[in-house]
Formats: sequence, C-alpha cells, structure tokens
Amino acid sequence: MKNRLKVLRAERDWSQADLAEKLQVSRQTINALETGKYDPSLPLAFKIARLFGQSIETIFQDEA
Amino acid sequence: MEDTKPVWPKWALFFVGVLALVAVGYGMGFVPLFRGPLGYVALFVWFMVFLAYTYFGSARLKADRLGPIMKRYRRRLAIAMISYCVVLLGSLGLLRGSRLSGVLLWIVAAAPAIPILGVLVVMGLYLKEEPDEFERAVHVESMLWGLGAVLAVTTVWGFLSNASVIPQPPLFLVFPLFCLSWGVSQPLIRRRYQ
Repeated sequence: MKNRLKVLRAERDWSQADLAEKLQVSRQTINALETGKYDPSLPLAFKIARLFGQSIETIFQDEA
Repeated sequence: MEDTKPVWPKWALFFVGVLALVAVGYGMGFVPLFRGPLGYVALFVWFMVFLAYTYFGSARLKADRLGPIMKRYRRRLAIAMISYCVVLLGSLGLLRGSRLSGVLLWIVAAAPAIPILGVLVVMGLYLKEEPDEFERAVHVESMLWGLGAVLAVTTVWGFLSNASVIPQPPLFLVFPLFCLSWGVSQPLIRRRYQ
C-alpha cells in the first residue's frame, strides 16, 4: 500500500531510527512500511496517524 | 540510503561458519582419541563454541540493536541449549555405561527431548511477547518455511524408506532441520521487505 510516511518523516527531520523509537518498532519495520511492502495492522496504523496528527486515509492511500 | 545496505554477504559468511563448525563436530566422531570419556569433554567444548558462535554471530548480523524482548528470548534459548547439551551428554553416558531398564531407561532416554520441548515453549513465548508486529510476521513466516522443509523432507524420506530404498529417517534430526530452514529463511524473507 502506498503511503506518505517517508515524506512525513522527512518534514520532521526524523531518521528511520527516530520514528522506530517513537512507534516502538524496529528500524526494519519502518523500512518495510515506507517501501509499502508491509501493511500495518489497524492498531499500528492508528498509532502512526496519532503520531503525525493526521488521519489514516491521508497517510495511507488505498489503490483499489 | 541509511537502510539498504546489503546484509546477505554477512549472512552467507555466517552460515559458512556454521557449516564449518558442524563439519568439525562431525569429523570429531572419526578421531579415535575422542571415542573415550575425552569424547564427552570434546563434544561439550565443541557445543559451547558452536553456541557462542551462533549466539554472538547472529547478534552482529542485526543492523538494529536488539530489543529487550529479543534479548530475553535469546537468553532463554541459550539456557535451553546449554541444558540440552548437558542432559544429552549425561543421557548418552548413562545409556552407554550402565544397563538401565524399566522406567529409568525411559526417563534417561527421553531426557534430552525436554530442553528441546523447552525451546518450543521459548519460541511460543517470544511470539506472544514481541510487540513489533512486523518482526512477529517475519518469525511466523520463517517458522512456516521450517515446517514446510520438515514436512517435505520427512514425507519424501518416509516413502523412500517404506520402499526400503534408504534407511528409516533419524527422527531426532527433525528439529535441527526445522531450526536450520527456519534460520536460513529469515534473511531471505527480510530481503523481500527491503
């Protein structure tokens, strides 16, 4: 699934490691999320949305 | 890029080391010097070296620092494997040295399986405790690869031995086979998400 994680992270000048720490996941998880190769569960998606102060739909784009 | 460093050469090197150590252990069986009581000491030392190599080697393969859950899992795994080595050597010694019978024979013969069952519990606890869903997914998938490898090999072997083409499969090697394919599949699965 496409997402704006990388852009949002860059806007805040956070490294992958920074974001990983904030979400309490590994850096590899962040990488897998950013490349769109791994889709997060709803709880993690909400956590991400809350962290960036945006709705899930504005961060993740459903291609369907 | 901060995160697309290829890690597979490191993994390949690590597995070459593992295979070399296994070969050394296997080769020890052919050295007459190690057939007596010295063999037990040699086997114990070899196992500890093997364990230390895989324990510290696998930690270095990780690009990230190990989280507290991973650390706890690895500590539990190490304890289970060290007890496996001790119980296995003790059991082998008792089985060879004395004429056991009845319940005692059953207990001594099955004892090495207990720490291995412990490893299963440790794996289950890790999946339950790991808060990172992606890590959990990678582990579950690699376990499925391990399961697939075990089922494939034992099914083919089983039919071949049914027809007396090859001997009966050594069932105690099923678990090491699971662990091997579980370990090998992990970097391959992770590569897909890079």
